[in-house]
Amino acid sequence: MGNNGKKRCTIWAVAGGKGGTGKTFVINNIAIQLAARNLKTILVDADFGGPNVHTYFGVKPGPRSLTDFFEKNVPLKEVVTPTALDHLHIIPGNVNCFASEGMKHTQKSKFLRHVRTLESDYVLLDLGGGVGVNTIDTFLVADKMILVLAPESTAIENLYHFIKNIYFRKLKTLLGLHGLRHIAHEKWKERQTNRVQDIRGLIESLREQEPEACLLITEELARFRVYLVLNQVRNEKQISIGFSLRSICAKYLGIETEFVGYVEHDAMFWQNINLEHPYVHFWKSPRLTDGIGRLTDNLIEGRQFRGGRVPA
Amino acid sequence: MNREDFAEHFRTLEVDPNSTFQEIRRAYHHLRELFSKNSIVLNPVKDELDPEFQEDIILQIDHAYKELCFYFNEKEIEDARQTVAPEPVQMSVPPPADGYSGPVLRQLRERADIRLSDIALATRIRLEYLENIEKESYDGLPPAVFLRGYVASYAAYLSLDPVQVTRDFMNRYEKSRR
Ligand SMILES: Nc1ncnc2c1ncn2[C@@H]1O[C@H](COP(=O)(O)OP(=O)(O)OP(=O)(O)O)[C@@H](O)[C@H]1O
Ligand SMILES: [Mg+2]
Repeated sequence: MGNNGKKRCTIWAVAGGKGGTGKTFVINNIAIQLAARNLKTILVDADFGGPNVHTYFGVKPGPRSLTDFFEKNVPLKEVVTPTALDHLHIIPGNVNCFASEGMKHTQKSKFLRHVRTLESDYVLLDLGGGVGVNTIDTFLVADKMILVLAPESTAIENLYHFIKNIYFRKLKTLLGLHGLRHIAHEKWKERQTNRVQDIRGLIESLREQEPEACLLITEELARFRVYLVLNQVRNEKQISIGFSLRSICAKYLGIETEFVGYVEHDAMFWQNINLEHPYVHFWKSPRLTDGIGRLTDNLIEGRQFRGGRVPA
Repeated sequence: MNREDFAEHFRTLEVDPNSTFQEIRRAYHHLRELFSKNSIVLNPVKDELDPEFQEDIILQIDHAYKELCFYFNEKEIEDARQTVAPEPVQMSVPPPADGYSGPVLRQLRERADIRLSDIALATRIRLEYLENIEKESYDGLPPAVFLRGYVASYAAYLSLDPVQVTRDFMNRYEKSRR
């Protein structure tokens, strides 16, 4: 499928949660799978805290990176760097800065303005583990928001926090869009806790005063959806965590998620790779390519992983 | 009735409306266990919902399963039971040779370490009725139309096949009436 510049690119992003769950690992693999399906893909390393996408592709840091776009006004499309794989390009992150505070507001606006203009079927954003509002806003703009979790309790807890955070951020933005920021602010202070259940109550209480806006906001929130990838799976039983999370998000939080698939833990990954071309290993390891291939298809179709449920 | 009338129940069990009974059963067991036990996935959000809503979730899951069991005809359910594929259920007890009687049910329940009062709470069936079901004290039980539903809920709670359990139990009940 080519791109003649008319069709707008599809944006997928990973963000959030605990560091080291495998966001970069997973999104890189997804990028490779898309490229293998002849879909032009640009993978952007927008992790301001610790960019390392290039490491997987044997691309030397620099000469061109996001820094040139942000600081030297180089057009975004000119920092797109080819890789050894057909259809796959990357935009390396800035390795030389210590921007530990994450993305700034001005950077976000500029980035969002330009990213849609990229000529590509897919643009994949690695936003790192930051929880700053600008990172979250960027995440919320993506056509698909992907969350990567590992089957361990801290990662799961972090995931819930992150889902709630982005959900609240979305709500606040929507309230702002409908000129209700002031009301929201008042109600916000009155609320008992920051449970999703109570936030729903808050929206309900706005219904009388602002019926139309309330309806629109409710509809918009009903469309809110995150896609879950379970990484570093070490045994079959762990797969059910993906289903469990989806059920709990739906039934406890009223937030829709799709569990699109899992990736096995490949203990020998760094031992086995060719350091100049680590991605080659992704092809050689069927346990990785099977899982990632399937979850990439599920993401494209927006459907859930279809495998047997095994009780946790 | 067609599948569309059951759409809500398929949704509650989070299964595709074209699912086989086998898949539905698996989903039911997964959800039942997930929402009634502590786990690393449930604990972090335990406080998100008031307790009565938490209980409602379990009731809805049970209800959906019960309804779907009646939707599928016995043949499909029989087929599902005979599939060789190892079925991940918590209590994979083979159906008893002489069918499900009150005492057999009681035995299965005790083996699973489940209290009658828990079942009463979850199914909203009077404890006394549950006791009488296990004792087969038919005189202390409501008319057959209601009894059938109670037995099915009881069976579903124990992760047993409600259709088979009701069939066996109601056969014994009818015989005693004759
Ligand atoms: N399925 C896997 N099998 C083997 N190794 C993995 C797997 N997933 C991730 N890793 C390894 O775990 C480490 C952390 O992964 P990664 O850098 O992708 O995490 P991250 O979520 O992007 O972290 P950060 O939040 O710091 O950006 C890396 O060394 C990566 O190669
Ligand atoms: Mg990373």
